[in-house]
Amino acid sequence: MTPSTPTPSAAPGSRRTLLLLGATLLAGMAGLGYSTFHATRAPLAPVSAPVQQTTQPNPVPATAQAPEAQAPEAQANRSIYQLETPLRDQNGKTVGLDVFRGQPVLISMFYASCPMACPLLINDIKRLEQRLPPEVLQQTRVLLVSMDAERDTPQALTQLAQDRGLDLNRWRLTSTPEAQARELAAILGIKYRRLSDGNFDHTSVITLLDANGNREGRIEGAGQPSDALVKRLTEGVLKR
Amino acid sequence: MKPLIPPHRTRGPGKGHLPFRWLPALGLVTSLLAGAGGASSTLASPPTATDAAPRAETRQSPSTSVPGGQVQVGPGVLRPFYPPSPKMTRIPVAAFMLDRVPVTNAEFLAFVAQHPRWQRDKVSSLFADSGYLRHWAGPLSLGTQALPDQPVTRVSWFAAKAYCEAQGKRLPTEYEWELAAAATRTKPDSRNDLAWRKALLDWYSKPNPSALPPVGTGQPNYWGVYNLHGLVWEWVMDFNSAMVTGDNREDGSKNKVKFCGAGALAATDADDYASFMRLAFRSSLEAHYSTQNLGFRCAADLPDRKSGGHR
Repeated sequence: MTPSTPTPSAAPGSRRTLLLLGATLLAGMAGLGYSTFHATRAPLAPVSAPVQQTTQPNPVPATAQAPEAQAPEAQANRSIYQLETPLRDQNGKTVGLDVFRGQPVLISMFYASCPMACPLLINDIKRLEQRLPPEVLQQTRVLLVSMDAERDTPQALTQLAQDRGLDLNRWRLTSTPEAQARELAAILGIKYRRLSDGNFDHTSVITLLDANGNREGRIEGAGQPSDALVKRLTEGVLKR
Repeated sequence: MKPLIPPHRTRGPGKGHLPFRWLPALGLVTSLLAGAGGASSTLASPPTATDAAPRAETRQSPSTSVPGGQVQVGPGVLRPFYPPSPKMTRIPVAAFMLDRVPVTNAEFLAFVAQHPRWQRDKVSSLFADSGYLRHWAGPLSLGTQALPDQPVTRVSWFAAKAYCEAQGKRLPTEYEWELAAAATRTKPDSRNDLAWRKALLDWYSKPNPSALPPVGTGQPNYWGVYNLHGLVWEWVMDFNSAMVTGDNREDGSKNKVKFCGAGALAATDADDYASFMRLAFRSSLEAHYSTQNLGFRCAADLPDRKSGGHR
């Protein structure tokens, strides 16, 4: 395309507005969940002829392929317990991500010194629990994993549990090393970034896992309706 | 049981491409109208295009002409055009090692041959979507649509991460990658080099080549790294630290209901559209996604440091 001749510099206010317009447009599309970013790009060098392939260094001979052997069980396994994330709980005990295997689990990520969104997150989980029939509540577990292993020691987590009056018969507050936290967030679709002041920008997501660790539903954002998760939890437990 | 609410997005990018050709044009016009630098009426050529001899005809054996290995990048100070918070306009980045070129099809093929769980007919759908390595002729053969020295694409974050770990390496962090990418051919920091940044926009305004060129074409940057611009998008370790919301109330501050933290996504002076494109792209990704324009390269700590990544 031919670039248009630029106009003289715009005033800073309208420049900011124009940039934000472009940013909003782009961000809105990102937010719509388009998963392919089909960028156009230039080749670095003129491609004058198709690249000729002389030898292909395959470690495995490319013989005629039999129909691809499917491994349906492995492929179909969508349990997040495949991550095998090691967790350290509020008692200092090392447990696996599947510590509550066999029970439905509400899982999320947080950090103990979080000023606003995490207290809201805990409130949201508690309010959800209050809507459950007692026999369902007894089966339900809550697993919170900190994104701040450095500061969220067992002592800090125990203190938080006390401050918020959490039922440690059913709730577990844990931390995990940085790389594992990043991986768990990736699985749960949680975004977070450590800021220079030690706080985090992060999204709030509550995910429901079934007894085998499969994701059954999620709530994103504070104060969002919990009807679907309540219904799924209730039906899931009462059917057993 | 029919899902009551849509499950967490599991559809891969195979369904529905977003035609983006007009969007860079919008962005280009936007930045031009915004007086992004009083440029002349023609864009400067991309630094790599005018003097790079086409490498295709010099290749005898594909693998020997690809620049391999890692180089040290940094230490340096990243000055992002879109700081994560107003206090983070200068982000120190410790020195690290970075692959000179993206990982190739041939290299990834060798990896999956040794690690069958990452073969496309065996991989868990938790870790890779249905488009994973779709362009290969088979789970263990490349075929004509995936040449050995092209950058491997259609790989998920999990697969990329596993590859790097299998080499004793890791993915670069966003700050590390951006520090490397901020360099021109001759200087580590392109921040004041408006012509260079505008030239990058050429990448978005030209149509796709019919086939991805091999890695290692063009000129290396200041650090000796190739293809950070103009070839494929690249996974980083903390791609999910990028949060861009469509809700731009209050002059760009993030939606406080959705996000903890009060930092505003505020642009600094002399904004960089390419940086924003990368930020927006990363924020749209999920870890199991694979897409045809997304590959990766590996990083590593300097030999005398413990592993564990950087912030």
